[in-house]
Amino acid sequence: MATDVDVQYFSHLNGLTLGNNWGDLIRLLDKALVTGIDFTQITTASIDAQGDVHITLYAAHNAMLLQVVELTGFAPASFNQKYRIKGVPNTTQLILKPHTAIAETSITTVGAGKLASLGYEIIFRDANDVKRVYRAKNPMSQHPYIRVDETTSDETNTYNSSYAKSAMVGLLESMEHIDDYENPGVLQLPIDTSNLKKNWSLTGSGTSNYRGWSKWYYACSQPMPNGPFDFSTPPSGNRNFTLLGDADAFYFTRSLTPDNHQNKLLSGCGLFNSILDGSIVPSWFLMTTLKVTEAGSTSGGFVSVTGGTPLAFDADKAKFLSTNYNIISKVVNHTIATSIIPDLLTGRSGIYGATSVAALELPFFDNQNRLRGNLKHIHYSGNNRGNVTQTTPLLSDNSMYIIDAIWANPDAGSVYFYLGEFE
Amino acid sequence: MKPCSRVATKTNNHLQNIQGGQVIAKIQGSVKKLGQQYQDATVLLYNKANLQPIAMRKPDQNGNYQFLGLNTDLKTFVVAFDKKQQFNAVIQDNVVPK
Repeated sequence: MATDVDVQYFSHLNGLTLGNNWGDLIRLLDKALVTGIDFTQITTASIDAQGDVHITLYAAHNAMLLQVVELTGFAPASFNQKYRIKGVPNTTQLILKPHTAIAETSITTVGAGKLASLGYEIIFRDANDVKRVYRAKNPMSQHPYIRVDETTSDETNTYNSSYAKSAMVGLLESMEHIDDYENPGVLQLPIDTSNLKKNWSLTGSGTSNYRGWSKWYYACSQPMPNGPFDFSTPPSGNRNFTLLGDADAFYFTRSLTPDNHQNKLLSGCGLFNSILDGSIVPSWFLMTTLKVTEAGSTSGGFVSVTGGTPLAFDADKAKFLSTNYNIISKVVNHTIATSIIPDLLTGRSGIYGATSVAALELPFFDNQNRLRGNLKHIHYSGNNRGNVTQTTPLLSDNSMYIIDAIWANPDAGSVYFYLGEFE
Repeated sequence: MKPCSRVATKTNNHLQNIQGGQVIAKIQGSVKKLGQQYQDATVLLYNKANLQPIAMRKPDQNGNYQFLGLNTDLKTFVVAFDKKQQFNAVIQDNVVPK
């Protein structure tokens, strides 16, 4: 059996920064989704008797166990493939398990390596470098255009740049240019069919500013579950995060302040494993903070909006968004998804704590009472893992997992992300 | 319409938590009785650090066994018991996962 190399993850431990700066989220997404992270020069490379490849780098790699590495430019060509990191003996050396077993026993040309991206490409970007549209490489028709927009001003209306940092995030079925979101024939998530610009527009300024609708916050003045208070200036400093997934779907957990590492906010988007045909109505989900409040408002926080704390807290706030499965008229307002989950204390209640890794898939249904399918990669945790403060790899026999925290009332819970099988 | 799955993913059944270790490794071997591969055995993996068992396995049809999800920092010994109790247990000491 080959080692699975499709699901990749990134962390602040890789040296990527997510701070109180505009642009940090899209630059992080550029690296994680699209480019990956190049290693410094590989000074030596060899293959051992077990078929594992050992590489030594010129400088520190900042790589973590179970991340996916891609080697290129090697000879023989069988070395040019994806690997899982099997060992991190020190800061410059890595031991790699190839996806496909390598028959050759020596390396004649040493090439280059990098932490592989999740497998997306940038379809559009803007001249001011504040917007992106990402889409899976080699997409199927179902794969969404993922628009991420950190715009703070349209020249008339301005969101104060010292306020909380967030990006407007939404999925679209097709796009011709970066601001192509007003086509009434194109499905969006989220979508208000009476105002197709609702997710992407600004009105007013100062504390009276309204900015977008679905937002991924990444720097706030207070940790989860407080806020987000847009008007309140966040402290500077890097936030802990995990970004994990593949070309179909990805998840993003992050601390909102630099000093609280365990009460993370979960977001995510992409395709789910649908039980329904997705050729007309695509099988998309979106975990996001969906609210329209003015920047000076202290209402509409994470714990008071539907889907504000995905998979945790209470029945309403634990929800997320999905496409409304209406095949006669697909461009209709989105629906709300409810996960079928043992409790809303994932990683905290420990209800299956006698099992070493109690990771359970998450099916869900929608507001129309349609059973829709299940979420990729992310799993409910029946273990109590205490305060998980950072991206934590875990191997259970040959099953690979990442654990990271999310806020689960009243303090830290956690979720499992399944990376596949090792070997 | 396909059924909607709610799978619990695979997990180990280790009898103690294995901490630390920066290199993933496993232990594999085979059980033999009078030179022949033998499956009617119980194989126990012990941690030398605390002399407590880590995991228990029965060999497969060919007498082969493996313990997965370990690391190279671990020092272990393996004990195999004959379930038919015709022979004494055998021990393999100083086994290091690879």
